[in-house]
Order: sequence, then C-alpha cells, then structure tokens
Amino acid sequence: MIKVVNLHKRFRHLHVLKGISTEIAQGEVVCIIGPSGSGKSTFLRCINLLEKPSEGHIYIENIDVTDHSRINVNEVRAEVGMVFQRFNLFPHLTALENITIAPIKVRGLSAEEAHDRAFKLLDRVGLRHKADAYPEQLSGGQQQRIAIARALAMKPKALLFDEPTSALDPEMIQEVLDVMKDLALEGMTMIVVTHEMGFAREVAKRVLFMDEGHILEEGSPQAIFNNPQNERTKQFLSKIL
Amino acid sequence: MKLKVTLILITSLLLCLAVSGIVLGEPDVEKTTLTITSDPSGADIIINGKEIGKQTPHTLENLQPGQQLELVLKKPPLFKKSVPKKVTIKPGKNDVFVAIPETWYYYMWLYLPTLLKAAGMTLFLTIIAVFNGIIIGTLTGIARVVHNKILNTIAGIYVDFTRGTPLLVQIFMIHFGTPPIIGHLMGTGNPIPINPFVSALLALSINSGAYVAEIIRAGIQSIDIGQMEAARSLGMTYRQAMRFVILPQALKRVIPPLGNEFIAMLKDSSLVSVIGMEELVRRAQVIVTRTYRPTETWIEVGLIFLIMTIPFTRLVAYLERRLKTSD
Ligand SMILES: Nc1ncnc2c1ncn2[C@@H]1O[C@H](COP(=O)(O)OP(=O)(O)OP(=O)(O)O)[C@@H](O)[C@H]1O
Ligand SMILES: [Mg+2]
Repeated sequence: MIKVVNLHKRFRHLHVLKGISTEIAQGEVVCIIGPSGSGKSTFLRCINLLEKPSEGHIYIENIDVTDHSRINVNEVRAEVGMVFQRFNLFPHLTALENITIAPIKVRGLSAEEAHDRAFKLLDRVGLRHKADAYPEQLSGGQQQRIAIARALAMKPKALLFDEPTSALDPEMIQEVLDVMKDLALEGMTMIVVTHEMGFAREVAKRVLFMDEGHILEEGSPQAIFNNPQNERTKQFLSKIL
Repeated sequence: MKLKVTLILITSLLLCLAVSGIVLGEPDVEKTTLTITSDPSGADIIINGKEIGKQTPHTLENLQPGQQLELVLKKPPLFKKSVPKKVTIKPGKNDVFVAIPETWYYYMWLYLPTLLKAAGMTLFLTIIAVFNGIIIGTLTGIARVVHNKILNTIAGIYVDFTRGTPLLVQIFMIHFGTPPIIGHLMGTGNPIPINPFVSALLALSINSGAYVAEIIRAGIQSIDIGQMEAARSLGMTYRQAMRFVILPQALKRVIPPLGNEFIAMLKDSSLVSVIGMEELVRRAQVIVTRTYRPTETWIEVGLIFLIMTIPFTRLVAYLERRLKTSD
C-alpha cells in the first residue's frame, strides 16, 4: 500500500533521512520508535509530502507521489491523513466545523453530507456532545480525538500519527489510544511514531527502530522489545523501558 | 443839528447793543457729551468705580469739559472686564470705543463649532484613508507572505519605501511632485495641479496601506505553523488554507493593531494641512492668524484630538485584553 524506496531528506547541509526503504501493507499498523532527532517526524512528513523528499521514491497504491510532473500534491495529502503531537485543531472553528471543513472544501461534499459523516465520526470517538465546543473548551485528550475524527473525515487510505499522546496528561492518554486501537481493528493502515510501548506491543504488527536517519532494525513488537539485535536498539530500549 | 446826529448815533448804538444783547444774552454754548460704544455691546458701564445702571451703547450728558472719568466696561459672565480707560472730557461731543476681551473659555466656546466641523473633516479623511489602507494593506500583506518572489519583492519595496520616508515628504511628492508628471503625460507641458483633498487622500491611503501591510503580515506569521500544516495535510490548497484557516485567525489578532493604526492616522493626518487641506489643524492656523490667540486655539485643538482618540485607545485596550484571555 505504501512503499518507500531509498528515501533521503536534506535540510540544506543537514542530512536527516539517509536512505529509508520499507513497505507497509494494506491494513498494517507500523510503529516507529527512536531517539529524538533521528528523523521520525521527517519521515512521516515526507510520506504525505509536507516535506519534499530530496531523493528516492514513495509509492502510494503504486503511484509514485514523488513524481511531481504527474502528481497533484494536494490530492496525495487528501488521501493520507495526519495526526499531530499538538493536535493543531483550528481554534476558530467548532469541533464539528473542524471535521467538516476539509470534506466540504476539498472533497466538495454538501454541508449535509459532511455533517452526517462528522456525527458518525463524533460517535466513534465518543464526542457527539462536544460537537459545538471550540477546541479551547476541550481537554487535550478530547482535542486529539477530534483531530483523529478530522483526519478520518477525508476517508484517507492511511493515517500517520506523530507522537499523538506525547502532549497529553497521563490520564488522557488511554482514551486516545483506545480510539487508535479501534481504528487498527477496523483495518486502517497506520504509521505511528510513539513511545507508548504498551500500545506498540498490543496493536503494531511491526516496529521500526530509527536512528540518525536510518532504519536500524525492524520486526515484530516481540522481537524488537524482547530480543533486540542492534546495540543502538538495546541502548535506546534500556533507557525508555 | 449836532444833537440830532448824536441822538441817532446813540440810538443806533443802543440798537446794536440791543441786538447783540439778544444774541449774547443767551449764549449758545455746545453741550458736552460722552458716547460710549463697545464690542461686544450691551456691557455694564462703571464710572469711577460705580455702576451707573446703563449699558453700551450709551451717551452721557451734562459733562464738564476737563472732567476726568475712569471708565470700565463689564459683560458678564463669559467676558473679562475691559481695561480701565481714563477719559478727559473735551468740550463738545466725546466718543469712546472699548473692546471687551473674551475670557479663554468663551473664546474656545466661540470657535468650537468651526473647529468641530474641521475635526469632522479630519475624521472623514482618516476613516477613508484607513479603509483604503486596509484594502491595500491586506493585499500587500498577503503578497509579502505567499511563495512568490516577484510579489514578495514588489510588496517589500512598497512597504519599505513608504515606511522609510516621512509622510510629509510623501504628501509633497504627491501634491507637488506629480502634477508636472501628469502634465507631461497629458502632453500639455504644464503641470496639472491636484486638488488638495485628492492629494491628501492619496498620500494618507498609500501611507496607511504600508503600515497595515506590516500588521497583516505579522498577524499571518503569528499563526502557529502547525495550522498551515494541518490544513495542508487535509488536502487543502495553499489558497484554501489561507482563506479558511490562516486568515480568519490572523484577522482576529490584527484588529487591535489596526485600531492603533487608526489612532496614529488620526493624528498624522494633520500633516496634510501643509498643502492647504482644510482639516482641524489647518483651520486652527487660519483662526490664529485672525485672532492672535494661539494658546487657547491650540489647546482647544489638542483637546479635540484627545476626545477623538481616547474612545479608540480604550476600545483597543479592551480588545487586547479580550484577545489575551481567549488565547
Ligand atoms: N524544517 C527543518 N529545517 C531544518 N532542519 C529540520 C527541519 N525539520 C527537522 N529538522 C531537523 O531534522 C532532524 C530530525 O528531526 P525530526 O523532527 O524528524 O526528528 P524526530 O525523530 O521526530 O525527533 P523527536 O523525537 O524530537 O520528535 C533534527 O535534527 C531537526 O533539527
Ligand atoms: Mg518528531
């Protein structure tokens, strides 16, 4: 479903991604772990083209999205949803409007269709009663659930999560993870940068360990967490577990 | 015979005496009077410290030539007393004119309507200029942030040029600098003068546009970059993200600084007085040349400016407080 081939990303002289290659199957949940600055966010941002890859290819459903002569960047982004560490809800819009704005403006849905879709999603994240609340009136966990609903409203082919629970108070982490778990069970293709090892163990089919712009090790959660092969992986896990 | 001549002579002499006696017996001496007039009239007359219960204009009669009077006029309650005036009565008709000076507050009151009307022009100029400025400035501010080198450069030059030169110079450039160019373009060879109102509006609008552009640019750039990324990640184009996500948030933040720009423009618009545009300051200058009372006039002008600006400074402060709590 998503295939990355020899992906490089440079910011001027800073070489952040140094040849990433991997493949993510339809419905697969992949967790990415790794130390700060290793390029995890940059990798995710390259996949939905928030960053322009410097080199290499990214295929989404066999279409090379790095081929700018044939690809509409906006259409690619509409197909790959993104959930941010800091939620990035639109503060001037209600929860409902946050969810409906892109379907209406980008997909051309009528307000009615968009509302129907939004209320279904609000039910799914358990926040129908907050439809008319503004983001500032919501807790962090609620905001992140709305942000997930917002991404889902575009009916994306895959969802990217960049540390979705890192900015949350501990008691709110679970409610967000629960929503993500449900999504995984329903067969959503997900790439999740996270330090929630419990979630990774339980939900991920595969874990990637990234360091200094490389994928140093990948495997099942059990393999990575219980029996890491790479020295760097061992060091990293010993620090966070 | 000799006696007869003597008799006639005596009779005629007596006759002459009689005739002259009639004339001289009641000598027709001119009456000595004093007519007092004043500006403004209707003032109480005080002579030698005593009110005589009469008001100007008034004529005093039966005065003695050589008599000395001390005259003071009083016009309550808004005027001052006149300066005491010593009058020495000459035989015949005397006239005295006394100007009663207004008090400062009466003077201000007298010129208030004229100045307020001129303040209306100042306000009108400012509103139109800032309105135009907001249109020019919004377009320019957006042109400064979009990813387009040509637009960035053009907008940057306009903003730098306008903010880097004095408004007074801009006013002169437009009012005196462009007429020869227009004349040249129209092929007449002679400068085509511009109406001061048009020059003033042009200069103030162009000036305001540059400052508004900076406000808009700062407003847009103050929005968290995550907002643009979230919008783009949902598939919105740059234009859609700007229109539906960035600008609505930026515009809210931009309201207080725009209020400040309005206040600044209200004050700076006085510079157009130098090209003869009849606004508050120009009007005051004209009044001063006539009345020679600069102190009261300029204090009054200052107060009128204050009354116009204070509501806006308060409003801006209120909006800033409200924005801070909602952030
Ligand atoms: N827009 C950018 N311009 C320049 N350098 C950047 C940019 N974005 C990221 N970097 C740099 O790229 C490197 C990788 O950043 P990235 O955010 O991908 O790391 P990360 O693995 O997500 O780290 P963290 O766990 O702290 O989020 C860092 O050194 C960062 O400073
Ligand atoms: Mg990161």
